[in-house]
Amino acid sequence: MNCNFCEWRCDLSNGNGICGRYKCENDKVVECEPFDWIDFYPYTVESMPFYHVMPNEYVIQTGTVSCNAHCSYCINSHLAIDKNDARKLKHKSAESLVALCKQMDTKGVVFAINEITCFIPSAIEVAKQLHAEGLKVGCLTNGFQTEETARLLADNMDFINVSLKSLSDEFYKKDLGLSSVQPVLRNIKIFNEKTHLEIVTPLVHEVVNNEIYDIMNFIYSVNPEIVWHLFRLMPNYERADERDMTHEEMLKIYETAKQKLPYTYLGNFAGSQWVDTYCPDCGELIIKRICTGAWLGGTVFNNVVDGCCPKCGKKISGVF
Amino acid sequence: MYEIMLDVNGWQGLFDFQTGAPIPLEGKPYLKLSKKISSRHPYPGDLNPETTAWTTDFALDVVKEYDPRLMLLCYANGMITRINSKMGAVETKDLERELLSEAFRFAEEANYEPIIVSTGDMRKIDKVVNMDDIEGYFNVSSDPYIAGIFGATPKDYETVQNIIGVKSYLTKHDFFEKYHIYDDYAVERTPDIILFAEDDYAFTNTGNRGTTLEEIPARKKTFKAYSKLEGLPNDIFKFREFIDSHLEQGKRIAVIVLEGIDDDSMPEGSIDVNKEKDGIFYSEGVLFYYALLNAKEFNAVGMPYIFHNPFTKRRPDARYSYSYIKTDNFQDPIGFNRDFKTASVGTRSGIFHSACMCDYSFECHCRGLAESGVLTFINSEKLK
Repeated sequence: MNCNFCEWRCDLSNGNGICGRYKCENDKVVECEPFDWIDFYPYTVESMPFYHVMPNEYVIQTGTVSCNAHCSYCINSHLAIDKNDARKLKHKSAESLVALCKQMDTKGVVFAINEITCFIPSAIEVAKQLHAEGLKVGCLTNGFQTEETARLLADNMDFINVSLKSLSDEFYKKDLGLSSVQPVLRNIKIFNEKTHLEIVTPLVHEVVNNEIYDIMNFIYSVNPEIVWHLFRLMPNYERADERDMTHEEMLKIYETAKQKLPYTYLGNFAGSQWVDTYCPDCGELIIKRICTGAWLGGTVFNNVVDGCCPKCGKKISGVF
Repeated sequence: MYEIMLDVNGWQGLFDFQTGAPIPLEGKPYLKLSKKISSRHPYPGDLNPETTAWTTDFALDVVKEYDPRLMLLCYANGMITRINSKMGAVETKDLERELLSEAFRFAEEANYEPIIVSTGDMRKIDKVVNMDDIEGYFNVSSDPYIAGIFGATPKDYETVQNIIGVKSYLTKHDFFEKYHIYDDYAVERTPDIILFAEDDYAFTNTGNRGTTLEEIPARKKTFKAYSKLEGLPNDIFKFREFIDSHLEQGKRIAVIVLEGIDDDSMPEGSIDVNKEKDGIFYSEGVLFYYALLNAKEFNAVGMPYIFHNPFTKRRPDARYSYSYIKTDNFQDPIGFNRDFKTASVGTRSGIFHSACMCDYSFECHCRGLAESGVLTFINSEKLK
């Protein structure tokens, strides 16, 4: 029997597939450890990053372990890639997670620690229960799901951040351990149609040199109002010895992209001043942010009124 | 007005210390020094073995360019490496030897009277308190032997009575009574239930994205200190007075903190220093530095405080966003507004400059092992 959650479509008859998180039971594909989480804790939505979602609000961030990819610069390799039998997952039912959200006065849950495709049934159940309580739910993903999973996520997530790392199949094969970027591009279009979508692109040298503006053009072709995070990558894991991108290199990309994609941001480093939102129509500064650390920060002020620019009334894409 | 300068991959930005708002970098002669030195020493990273020498080289450069009479150094990478890396006994000893040799290299090359302190013994984690049955949000304090439950449910108050490895617990109300806590800042950051672990147990945190702690500070009441200066005290809260008394005599003093060096690796002649008061162990982080350098207990108004409470919502008027300071009461930092030159260099990001507030306080900018670059606190009021 094959698992159809991601494009690997692994045969589970002799194991748990590439991510190792599913098994075949009574002719059904089920999670090996449903509702077992590596961690759950309150976190700002800006830090995920989601910049057009409930500014300055807290959500419960959670996730499990493993991944269906193998990125050479993974910043989470200790739980996405490394096999560590000593680590202990904590069981928390969907009901308990929802209760925790309410106890902590957070606005919902974001599955942000590892790839959501490794725990789709649990994530969907949590999403349904959150929605029943009027809370929100979102996720980060590499976008390498099957079309049916992408549609399931689009229907159940209020906001999704896809990491689009390249447009090259070769890069996806060599540096990410995924067979092709095509499913990711297809799923971005699916997400864009049905939910709030943000895209993050880690600034890796070969991507910057060869195709960063092609990525920009692709996003533009899907929807010019998609939020695009240019992510300063601190080389890690197999690329730990690689030099960082210079600020000049990053800023040039940001300034070019901003002309085409008005919701472009440059972040993941302390002090970034390229994280504010301006109305694409009238130029009004509508959301002022502060970036105090790699992933940390918050909103200094949010002037969006009923999802619109307070000056000209333009609808600002997002979950406000 | 005081300032924070950041150096990230060659980009430099200046920010208002209180508001965090960007301010122009140009036209300020006192920034020439911080710009120059920061750009010469990009931070290697918390777990990079080069970080020990980075601290020394950075500090020597500061002495060459500014020549402060009080110099404060902290080598936090020793503890950070031991907490986050699997290390054998030989590797640990090598790390400790390097820390010590770098401390003496600095003191000798820069000609300071050194006061060298450790943070105390480290140990492997044997037993972890299992908090799985807690319904609220469980969070460890600055001390791995103290934890708290935010948003505790009625069931949590019952559950904590029977958790193996928990020595005792206090409700928020009882905690306030015991430690005389009255200010709003502390009230906001105190959990509903405060738990104290048995000495051979430890709490491990949520919010660490599944990372595993390899070692923690041992549950020991003392750390080691070494100095040839007269009157080296045997209590952490008496160090500030000791340092000040020698500064008053016109001496050039370097306080050098070596985190993650065990007692038996400290120099011969080191003495034991008490770091425990009223059941609180001032073993690391914000607790340690405010106690050692500023003689402040954890319940001092504003900072230090024992629970960082990561979910405390950002206020619209949030202040000191780059620092471990939450109120305008700076708690008399050791290097602040002295009538002689002061500087610090350290790798305990966020905390060290907050405790020192020297004319120039340099440190790595790192959060959760993710580094951004070099941060400098600048006492621009004094320097302009």
